[in-house]
Amino acid sequence: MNYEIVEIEQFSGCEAKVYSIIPEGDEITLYDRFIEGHKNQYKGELKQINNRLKQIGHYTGARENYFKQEGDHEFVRKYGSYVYALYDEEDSNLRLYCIRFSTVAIILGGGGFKDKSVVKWQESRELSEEVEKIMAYAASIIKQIDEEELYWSDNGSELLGNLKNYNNEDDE
Amino acid sequence: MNKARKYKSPLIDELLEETTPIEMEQTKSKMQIAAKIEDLMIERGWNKTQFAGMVGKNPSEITKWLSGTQNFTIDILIEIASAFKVNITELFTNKKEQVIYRGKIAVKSSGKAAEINLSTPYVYTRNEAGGSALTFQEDQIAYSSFYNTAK
Repeated sequence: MNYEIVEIEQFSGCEAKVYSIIPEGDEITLYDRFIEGHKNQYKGELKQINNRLKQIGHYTGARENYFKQEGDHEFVRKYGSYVYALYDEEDSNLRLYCIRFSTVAIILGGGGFKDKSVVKWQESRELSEEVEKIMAYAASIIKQIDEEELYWSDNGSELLGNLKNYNNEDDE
Repeated sequence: MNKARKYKSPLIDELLEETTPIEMEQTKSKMQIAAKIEDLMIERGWNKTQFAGMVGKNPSEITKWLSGTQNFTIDILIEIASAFKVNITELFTNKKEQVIYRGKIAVKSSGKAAEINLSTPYVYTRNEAGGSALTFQEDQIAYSSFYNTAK
């Protein structure tokens, strides 16, 4: 699994760093793909998500209450609580997934349309794909942290190290 | 020491440019009121169930309030302020907090990772009386022992 973790300039601030992932061979982030795929139909909702992410980075930090824990039991048992969805506004139908590290950092993934009749992500093919994808990235990133390829800055606010992970032997 | 490359997304810019200052302020207020409620709960040592009991709501309603998406009515804000015994205006104030991080962060992919996660910040908050509360922000666990400091 080869990817680069980049810091999103518009969202990242003094309260939380906001990152996303660029898969190898791609030029834009998973979050940009999410915007691109939904901007025609759900522009208002994307604007709300953007506003929330900006507040998280600059004013509030990534408080756990702003997020709903996601991921399956197997993932949580193996790695812990890292995969979350951003709580959406009451009238919203878009769900965004991310990897959350305490209040200090989030790594944005993609997301998709969530019909109000859908209770669990497993009930939607699009959402299942997105959650599976973010769980795979989370597993890889946590492994990088465990192996000290990635580490946190002294003040605990910034992810440092091998952020362009293009030599992952697991894929070979 | 490699830092992450800064990435400026034109797609995000496009959406932010279409956002009015009022829309941004609305989002900011909702999230800051939620944060304020959470901070007051931590200060009081109340969990969601206890706070829900104070305001006569279900804990699921409190989850919604804390999510930062709730469009609070004046009536609800008065009920919340009354439960905390604070003035309603205090729910709109943003206390500046000094966040002190642990020097070293340990993350391991064991099943116990959820207990430690990453750098849970200690928050050193000054209260009205000039006292301070050292709180352990994650999971609403609070060391609510107050001690005096000179104002």
